[in-house]
Amino acid sequence: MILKIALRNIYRNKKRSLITISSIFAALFFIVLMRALQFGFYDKLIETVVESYAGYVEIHADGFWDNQSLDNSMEVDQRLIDDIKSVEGVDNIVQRLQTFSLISMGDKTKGGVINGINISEEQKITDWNKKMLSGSVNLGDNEIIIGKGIAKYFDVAENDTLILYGQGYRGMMAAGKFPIIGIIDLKNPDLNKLGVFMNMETARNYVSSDEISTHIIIDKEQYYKEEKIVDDLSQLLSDDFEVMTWKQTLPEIEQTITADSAGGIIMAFILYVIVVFGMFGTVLMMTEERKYEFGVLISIGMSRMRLFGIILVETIILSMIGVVIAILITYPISYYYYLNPINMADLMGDGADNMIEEMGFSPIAPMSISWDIPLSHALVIFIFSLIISIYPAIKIMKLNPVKSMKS
Amino acid sequence: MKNILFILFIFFNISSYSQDAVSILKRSEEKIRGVKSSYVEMAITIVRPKWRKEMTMKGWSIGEDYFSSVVMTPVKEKGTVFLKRENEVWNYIPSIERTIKLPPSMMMQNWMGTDFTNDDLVQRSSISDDYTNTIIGEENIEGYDCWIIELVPNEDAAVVWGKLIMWIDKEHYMQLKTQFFDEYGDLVSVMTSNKVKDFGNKKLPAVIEYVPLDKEGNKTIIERLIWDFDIDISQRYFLPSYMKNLR
Repeated sequence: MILKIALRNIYRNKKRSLITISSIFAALFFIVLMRALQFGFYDKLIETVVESYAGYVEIHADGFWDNQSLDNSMEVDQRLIDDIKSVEGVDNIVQRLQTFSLISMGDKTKGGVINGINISEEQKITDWNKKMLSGSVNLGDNEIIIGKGIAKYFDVAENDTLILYGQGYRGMMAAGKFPIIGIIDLKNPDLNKLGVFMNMETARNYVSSDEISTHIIIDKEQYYKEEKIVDDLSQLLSDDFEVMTWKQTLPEIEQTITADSAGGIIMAFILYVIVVFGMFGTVLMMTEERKYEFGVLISIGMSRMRLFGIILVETIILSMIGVVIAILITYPISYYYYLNPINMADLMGDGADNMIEEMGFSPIAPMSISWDIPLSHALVIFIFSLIISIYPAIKIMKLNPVKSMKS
Repeated sequence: MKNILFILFIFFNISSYSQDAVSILKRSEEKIRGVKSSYVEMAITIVRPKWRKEMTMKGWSIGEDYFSSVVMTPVKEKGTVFLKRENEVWNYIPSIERTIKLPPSMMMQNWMGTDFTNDDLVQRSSISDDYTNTIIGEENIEGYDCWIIELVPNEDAAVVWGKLIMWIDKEHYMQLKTQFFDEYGDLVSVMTSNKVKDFGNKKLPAVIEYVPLDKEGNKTIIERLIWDFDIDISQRYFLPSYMKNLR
């Protein structure tokens, strides 16, 4: 009965309904698209930096993170690997040996990060073949793959030789000449500028040690919470190890996301203020317009509660319609841009791609297609519409039928 | 720490009667100046809290200005050469066939991974001229009667230390112990010499131990196995271009 009257009321004054619906729709449309673009950007950022190389969870010897020296490395045995694999949510694990060295050729020298990796294991986390710009991915002994930034800096290609020079394990000197067999674009500007990759045996030989690793990188199952894995691992492993998530090892990414997201939330808040006042305006107008009608209804014996119920249902239906239309329209748009990511560089003009890469991001930004975004914002609008309907409720409770019919 | 060279090439000297601090230090210092050339084989042990590394080296020197050393073991570092020419420092690394002249910015880095810095080996200041010295006591160290001498750097001296305290034995003028203080008067490191042996006809401590007190568990021990003096050494041993041939 209430629903029927409410629907009729909505239908009766089409113009008013349309204004309310469109203001809700417009606000939600912008909020959802903006957030989808932002979250898509964050997902991409996490994917390029965390998922493809850094890993969601990493294990080091205790104290390594504060003093990243080979002397704080660890020996990894099969039992440790089995223990880690037994933890729920752990998908793949790889070991790495990472150390800093000088890279030199001719008169040029720059710092670099030497990564001893097991390429066939790494392949399970990310496809290296796809990322090779030239050369081969099959690392033999005493061969290296370098990031494209290093190749550009030294102006080298395959079969050129670079000199690496640094500190080895336990006071040993690390020095050697290594031919380049391939150049890789890891889609991560830092790794591209600093990364030198060699197989594990070569790296261990380079630093003069047999068994050590510095990192165990854990690739989690999709949608599994990394914090849960960290908790489980911390329980399982002794104090000789430290377990960290990417949020700790790459705080700058977490911070970038938080800071950028805060901007988005402020924008959303402004849009909310606009839409809420828009809604409030229509409700206010409607209440004033219909005072006479309310007065008649109350004087012929309709209970005030029921009358309020009608108004409430009206508001809910109107906002629902706005919300549903907004979702129906934004989702396909998000989906389209998820499949065909926006290239920020194209939007910003020449040279922008370099600039964005300099800042450490990939300029390709797909939209997020997570349902969380439209649904959470729809919920906020919905709650606001409930709050707004308090106003007509108060009006109705206070309404003097005689007075309202006279005016 | 400018005394490393000094200690490395310390000389035997004739005993004397009681005298003032300046002349004691002069005597002790003359041991370096007196050396025409030397050849040394030494074992260096680098001690760290969790590990230790041992290496053996050969070294040649002419006077104070020229010193070169080549690593014999560990095998992986064999042939690594360190060369000091006046105030230049050069390195040769065989695995990359490179001769490197150390820039001033690297002078404060470790010398061959020990607790000494490159700067310690190059720096030359005179303990008798650059410091104001006073005898503050006497003590017996491992059977040697020593003067304890306090050295406070003169204002215009290019010295990083706030103060040094040295134990110099009365008979052979060996520096058996040195304490290094920073400009705030805190003790930062201690160098001790022991195992006095006869090298040729000279009495010298074979072992020096250097302990930086700010790094707990760190220590460098240098033991001289062979030490010959005033022998003929070709000047080319101290040419950067000859470094790759040293062995």
